[in-house]
Amino acid sequence: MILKELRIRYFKNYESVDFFFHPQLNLISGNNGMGKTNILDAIYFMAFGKSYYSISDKKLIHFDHVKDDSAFFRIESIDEVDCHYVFSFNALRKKVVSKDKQVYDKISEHIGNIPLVSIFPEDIDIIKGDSSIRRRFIDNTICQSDREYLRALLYYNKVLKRKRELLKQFSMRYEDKILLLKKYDFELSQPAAIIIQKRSEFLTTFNSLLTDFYHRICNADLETVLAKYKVSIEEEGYLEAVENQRKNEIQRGRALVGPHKDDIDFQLMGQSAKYYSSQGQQKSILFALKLAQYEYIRSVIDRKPLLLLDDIFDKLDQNRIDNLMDLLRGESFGQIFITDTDAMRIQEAAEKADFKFLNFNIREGKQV
Amino acid sequence: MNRLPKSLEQLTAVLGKLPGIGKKSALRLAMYLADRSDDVAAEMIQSLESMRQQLTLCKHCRNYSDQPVCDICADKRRENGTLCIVESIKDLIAIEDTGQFMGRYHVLGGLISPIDGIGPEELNFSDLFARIESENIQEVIMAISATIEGDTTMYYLSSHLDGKVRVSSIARGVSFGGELDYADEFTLGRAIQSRQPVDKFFNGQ
Repeated sequence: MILKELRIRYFKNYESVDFFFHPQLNLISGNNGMGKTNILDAIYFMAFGKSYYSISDKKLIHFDHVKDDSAFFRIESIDEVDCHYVFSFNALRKKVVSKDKQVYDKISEHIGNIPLVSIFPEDIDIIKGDSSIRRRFIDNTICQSDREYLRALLYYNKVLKRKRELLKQFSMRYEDKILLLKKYDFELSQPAAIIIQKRSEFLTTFNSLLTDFYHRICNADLETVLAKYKVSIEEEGYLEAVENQRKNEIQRGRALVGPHKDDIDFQLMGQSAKYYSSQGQQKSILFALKLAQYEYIRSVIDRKPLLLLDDIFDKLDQNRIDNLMDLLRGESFGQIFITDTDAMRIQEAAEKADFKFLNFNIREGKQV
Repeated sequence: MNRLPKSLEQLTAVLGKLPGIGKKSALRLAMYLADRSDDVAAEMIQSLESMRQQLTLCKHCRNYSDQPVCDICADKRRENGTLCIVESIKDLIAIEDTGQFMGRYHVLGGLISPIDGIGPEELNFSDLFARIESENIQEVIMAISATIEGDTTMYYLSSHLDGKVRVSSIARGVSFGGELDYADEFTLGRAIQSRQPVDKFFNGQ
């Protein structure tokens, strides 16, 4: 996948800009607050139909043009086979996406047309944040290629929502509650088994990619990194586990057992990276994770996703920057977008790694 | 903007409360009634009045009825001993239209759905259980949607009726006239699990 051209209209701090990108590497530089990240967010929007920063669509409209109902933003992209995607939003007609002027019925039908992996500074929460972020990370990765997993996950969440509501109802008779919980738990047991098995299978494949990338970024073959699956249910299976906890669940009014309680512990040298590693090490693990995700998706869909790297050189020593650039130069990567405040630094790093590239200097929502 | 006379505006507002009727349709209906005030409106007033005065729910099955007991429950020719459980009167009408069922009905008026705050007690199952005993019901047929809510309700009912009466459910699977490759895997999977001896299909003809 190569993005030849991106047209942005009234999106965030851009009024009207067309970018013509380099097929290999695009460097986006400029001072803070000038709109470097907004270009990446526009590309992210093209791929997933929403902002990376979970900002409501209305707030994405350029602030000078948001005054009335006719306000809108539009992002268009043209790829290497001249496929023309258009995302447009206005307050009245809502969000629409089209491919070569054919409008999709649902945004979700477009997802997957533009494969993309991104690293934003906030992604460090995958390591530092709570377990739901880690579950979402692996769920998103597995769902890229596995419809059965997606279906199991959707069904599991649908029934889980009902079970949670049931547990919250205090007025219901105890025996009724037990009976209905049995039914819901039976419905949950099959998707739960699928989810757990596929997560475990996925992590086995993923770990070898993760280790490989971590070693190449850090040049440290001795540091072992591992994504350890902390499964919420051991061999006894969902039904037995949940039956043992049923009284407890009713008492506390919460669903305590199941894959929605799974976690992934990223370990460096056998220690939990969340607690026992430096910021630089955490960042290296994050890169290794994301590049492993890239490699996984690429091998599954047999296309090279776009790679967005937002402000990643911050807090990295020169050694790791060089290693990372060498790595990105490799065969398996496609078109790359990197933002940085220091134009010289990234250009030098790119030249050193023998990249062909274009540099975009951004000032106040314009290319200069 | 041209403001409507108060009477017409009120009528529009009331019509707009009906399901599926928006502002514009409400105005169109109101103007239609205004233009034909002599016949249609009068007829409507009368039928609304009599509906309000007469229509109740059947005390046995909770179907609509003008009498305390509805026509189906009062019909001596219907089979005693079989009871078809449906979610709503809409579903009752659908089954009645097939002409394939000759027993009596019981309308639940909803399904167990914790999300909507509907539990077993809200659905008055005790009426149903009492009825099964007093009317000496032999078989209960559950004609309930194949959703999570429907499934949960069926599970609840069958676990209470188990051993007391024969409990069955309408068949699930590939729809009549449906082609296999259009059925989703979930439906097809269940259809294979609950497969039927072939002669059952043809004996019915």
